[in-house]
Amino acid sequence: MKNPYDVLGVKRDASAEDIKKAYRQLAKKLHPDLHPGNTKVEQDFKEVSQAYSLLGDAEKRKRFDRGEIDASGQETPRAGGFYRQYAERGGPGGGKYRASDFGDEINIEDIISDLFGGGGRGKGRGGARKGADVSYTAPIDFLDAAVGAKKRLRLSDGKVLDMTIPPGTADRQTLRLKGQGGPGTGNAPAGDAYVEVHVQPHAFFTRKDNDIHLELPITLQEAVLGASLEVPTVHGKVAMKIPAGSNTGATLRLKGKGITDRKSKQSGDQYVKLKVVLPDKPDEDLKSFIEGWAKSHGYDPRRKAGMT
Amino acid sequence: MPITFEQVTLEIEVGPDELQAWIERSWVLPIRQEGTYLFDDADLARARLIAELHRDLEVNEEAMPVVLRLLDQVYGLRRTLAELNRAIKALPEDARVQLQKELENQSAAAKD
Repeated sequence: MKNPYDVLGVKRDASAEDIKKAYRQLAKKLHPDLHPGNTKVEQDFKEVSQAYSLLGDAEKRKRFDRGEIDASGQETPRAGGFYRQYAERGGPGGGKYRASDFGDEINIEDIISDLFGGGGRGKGRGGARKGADVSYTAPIDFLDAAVGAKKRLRLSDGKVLDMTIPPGTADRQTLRLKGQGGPGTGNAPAGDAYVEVHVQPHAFFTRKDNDIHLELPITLQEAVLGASLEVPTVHGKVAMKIPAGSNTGATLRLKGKGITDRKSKQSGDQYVKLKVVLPDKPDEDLKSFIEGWAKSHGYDPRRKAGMT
Repeated sequence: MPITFEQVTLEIEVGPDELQAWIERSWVLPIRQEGTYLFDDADLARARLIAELHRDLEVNEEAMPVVLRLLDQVYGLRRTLAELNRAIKALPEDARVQLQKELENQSAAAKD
């Protein structure tokens, strides 16, 4: 383990201000996101930030100077990692942070047209050429994907794309936005934008093909006596009858309350799986009632499940 | 797994007002859902980068968009270069050899 004073290149009696200065100097030089593709620099930067986490903290520095702690074990894990590991990803999954003042970012279409298109005409000098296609990824809301929506997509340079999300859009589906790519030259049309959508998980709905699944917590009395309840669906709340004696795990079907298939126009269903939930606080009345009831009403659910 | 606004402020030690301002300037683009924000790992890494640019690299508010924009361009170029590399690797052997020779000529010419 290297001595943190040596790592930062400061003397043992350096002031807090000097240490901060030295660290900042090194960080400017070594920050991995400023050195894409250079793997060595990441190790150096980690050493430097580790040294600074020790010496930049007056209390820790004192303890280190007294020999109470050593230079090891100071590294805190970096959740999410460095930015460059996301920014470097190619293809349509290449991240939403783009220098996309369209045409501003050199992309493969530019290279192709420079090499093969236009008989040696440079970019932007005369000639009609269709604008470049651009691709993005965008996270979209679960409900927007399920029932469809119109959405504004904001890009890192403030550029705005209007996107129509059709009902029943699937995760990782690519939507084509005609004419929303780079501008064409001459009279040629603009390119298209391709957006790969990532459907975000929902707090309580899950989706299997065109069916929606939901786990519905119900009270003990609703389970035993039956009830008429309001249940959320992707299309809004609907009334549903719970039969008396419904158990945890019982699954009820709301026909046609799933997602409408874009091609067949058939609607999926929503499956509601019941889950009986006891009161949060132990209830004395319930306890004494059950004690009395249990004496004459033994039953063995584990035998039924084959566990005995 | 999405990360919440609050988790990001704790993870990168930045105030909620500051993080909110970054979102409003489109420096970070979390998804907006039901009155709150959801961050993915790339959003978190980018927010941390902005925090470090600001705190440690002393990039001030006026210079930040310039720095981010240049970074976005560098990464964009690198993605394009990677695509080009993949395309070249898919070429037949003799075409690659020819390309290699041509590149060597170019780099020799550039040194003169």
